[in-house]
Amino acid sequence: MVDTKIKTIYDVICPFCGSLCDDLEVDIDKSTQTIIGIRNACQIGTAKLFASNPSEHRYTKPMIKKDGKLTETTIDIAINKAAEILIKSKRPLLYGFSSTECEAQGKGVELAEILGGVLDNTASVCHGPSLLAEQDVGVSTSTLGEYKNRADLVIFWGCNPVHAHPRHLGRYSEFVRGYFRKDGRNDRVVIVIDPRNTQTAQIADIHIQVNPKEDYELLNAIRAMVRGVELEDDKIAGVTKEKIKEVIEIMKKSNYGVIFFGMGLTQSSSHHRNVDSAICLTRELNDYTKFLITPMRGHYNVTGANTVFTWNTGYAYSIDFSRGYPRYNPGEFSSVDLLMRDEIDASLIVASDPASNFPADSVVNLFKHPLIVIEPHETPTSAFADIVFPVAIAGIECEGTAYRMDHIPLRLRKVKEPPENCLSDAIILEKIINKINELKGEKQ
Amino acid sequence: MGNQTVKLGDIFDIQGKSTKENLRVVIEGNLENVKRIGEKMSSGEIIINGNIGMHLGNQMTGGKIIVNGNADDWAGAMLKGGELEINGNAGNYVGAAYRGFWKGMEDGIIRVHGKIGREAMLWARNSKGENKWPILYCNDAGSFLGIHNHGGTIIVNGDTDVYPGADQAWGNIIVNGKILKKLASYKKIGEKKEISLPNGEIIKGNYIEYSGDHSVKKETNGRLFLKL
Repeated sequence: MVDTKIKTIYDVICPFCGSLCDDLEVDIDKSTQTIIGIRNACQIGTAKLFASNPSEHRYTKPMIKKDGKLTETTIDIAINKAAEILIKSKRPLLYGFSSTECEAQGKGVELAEILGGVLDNTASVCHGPSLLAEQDVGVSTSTLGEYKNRADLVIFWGCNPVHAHPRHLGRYSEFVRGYFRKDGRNDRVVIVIDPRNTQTAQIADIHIQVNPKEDYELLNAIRAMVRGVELEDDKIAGVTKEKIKEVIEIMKKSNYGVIFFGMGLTQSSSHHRNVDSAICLTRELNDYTKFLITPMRGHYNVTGANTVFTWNTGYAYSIDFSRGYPRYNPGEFSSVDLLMRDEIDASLIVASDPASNFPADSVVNLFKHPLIVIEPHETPTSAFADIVFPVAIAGIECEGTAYRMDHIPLRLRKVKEPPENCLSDAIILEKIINKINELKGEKQ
Repeated sequence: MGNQTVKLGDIFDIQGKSTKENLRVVIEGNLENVKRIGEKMSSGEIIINGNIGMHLGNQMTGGKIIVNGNADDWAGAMLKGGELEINGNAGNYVGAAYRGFWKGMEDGIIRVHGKIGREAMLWARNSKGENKWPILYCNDAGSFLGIHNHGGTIIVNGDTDVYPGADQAWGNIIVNGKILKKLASYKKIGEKKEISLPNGEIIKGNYIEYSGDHSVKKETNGRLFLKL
């Protein structure tokens, strides 16, 4: 007998990290619409999918602050109030968008333009420096499938995929068997450059323990030595010259090399200049062999946020619409800087938790002004919000498009019904836009 | 202000009359949140008594701006001519290129009597044919001074933070104080008692001459001078 209580959905895309694994199998209890089993996902992905099941942390009704406490309300009242706050604001901030689908991101751009506000996504505290470096010196990159089939030298610089992108190694970069790399791990040389002896470093062929915050110096020295310059120092950034020479030989002799880099480069001191130098190194190694570079993006659709913002406005993040047209300047229009200078007088946060990630001083300024949050779960940000919209979780309870870390768009699947009264991010944003247009007396 | 348009007269008390030539503007007060004063200015003079916000005199082609206070980030960004004098400190990206631009400061002089922030003179570029020599004088400087320099001249009277002249293709950086950390890709080539700058200026003193940045080119005309 076939058990009809359980429905299994195959080839589900995991909405957690930038790897966007597309081979998950999810078992759903049809009567209760809860997830009861997950196969193929990593621990983090599994936790995210299970977190969509009913729990005391999940919002199911719109909430509005009354007498200092969040109380339940109706969707119409919440939309009305949110629209009023945003219209009144002289400098509203729209932030987040990296953990939702592209359709919602597009609505975010529309809303920011109508309001003349500031639009930003989580890249501004994550891989924003990578984008700055790409704008300065360009980038030579490829898709993960290419790396899987061709790469025989894989360098992980300042990233720890064993913990942050657990299936990346198995699906794209280290253990997987590729078309030209039939023997998987044995056909690849893996180098990890990291100040810490991470678990990724422990399974690498070579671990280069660079001094903390001195990645720029090491990159710079490698570039000079690739050009055949003999350096005066014996030790650079804690690494001996002989070791650097050995690595350069491996790089030059490889058939197809790739550098994956993470927060160790973008968020340590020197920020975008680390990435700038890493890209220049990649470019220069192409004089000897094929070499490419790819950032290890964190949120599953942060690449999508950058892509959607770029095709709508020309810029990937930190966009100011106050003059009616988009202007771009990280450092001036990026969320943390704006909040530190206390320029923001209302904020709308979509699928993000800045209170946990931003510097404390900027969070204090965020909480000083009206705060609207579109979020499925209770977070430190939503706890201090004036209005909370519960939502269907993109990629689990509603469909949408997401971009993998290598800019490959994939269609997210809906595996179960959202809780009653929960709309998708895109629909909530559309309702706010319609309400604002109505209040302003403009045609919808 | 934000997404609203306001009249200048609502915020400032304005006196005087406008002329077409030799216009002189004096601004008083705390202007820390006022941006883009003197943007694309071509002639005349602006005197600011107080601190000033971002993008002071960016892309200006002529004239002079004097600040009797501190300036925020991007002061004199992508300067194409004229003179900028800041009697206090200046923020990051002094005379730098904006995001994604491959040509930063092309001509003109910036003098900062206090300290400057990170990445000053980013992508500065001279032009021998047009006789354009961008120059920055400052006291202390932040990290990555003159990064991606393509012909700019920088004279630092005090100390610099880490990595001055990173990715410098050509140009001159003169440091009269100490360098917190020099890049390994700079090589010592000798000592000099007199440095002649491309704009004709001559600086006398005992200096160690380094060539670099060798990560950009094996043989380079980029120079870093450090006072003995």
